Amino acid sequence: MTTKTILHTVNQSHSTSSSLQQCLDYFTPNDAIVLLEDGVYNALAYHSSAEKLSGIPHCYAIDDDIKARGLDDEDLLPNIQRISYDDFVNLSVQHPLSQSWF
Amino acid sequence: MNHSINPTNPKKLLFVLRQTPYGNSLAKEALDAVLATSVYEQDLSVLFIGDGVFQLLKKQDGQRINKKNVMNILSAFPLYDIEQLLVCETSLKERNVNVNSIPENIQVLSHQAVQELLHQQDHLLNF
Repeated sequence: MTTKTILHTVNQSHSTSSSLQQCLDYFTPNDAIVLLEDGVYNALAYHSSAEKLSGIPHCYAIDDDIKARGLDDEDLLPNIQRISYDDFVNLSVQHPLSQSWF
Repeated sequence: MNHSINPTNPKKLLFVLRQTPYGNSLAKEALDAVLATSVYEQDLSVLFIGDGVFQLLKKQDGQRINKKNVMNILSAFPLYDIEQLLVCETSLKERNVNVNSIPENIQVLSHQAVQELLHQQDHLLNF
């Protein structure tokens, strides 16, 4: 039985919606998470979900969405890699399954 | 002439349903999508997690608010050979939903079993 990796996407702030929490509930090692749109608010280093997210190696946030929301100079979690939408496309190719938490 | 679709290599499709039944139209749209997809004879499963477990309550009555009863649509699934109906045990427990409140043909999966299930699919469809 082959198991595959999942690319999870979260587009809501954890204070608006349970999307981030549910994503983390079903996340398994080797999966990856992309924070996009309002999901980039979850990249801020000082919120209640920060501890859970900080342990995840393959965690990405869309740079344009960060800059658009004025978060460029804020403290973001150090493990989160900022990526472009093109990089996002490459990630989607790498992971055979995608799960969107909206 | 035989016009039926005979897939030799059926794909594993999992519908992941997370919405309450009547708050928005997504729940019903998801079930309509499941029915439409069942025509293609793929390896179809439907998983209820998070607030989606509320779609499974037997005693619901959408008619009281002039909506189509979601449970009526769900009950018809076996007629279309849609038999893999699954629910996450943790989601039930978090909401204090007793397993007797949901139909017997819904399989209850442990949290870990759900994680494994997600990774075994060919496609995940989220509603």
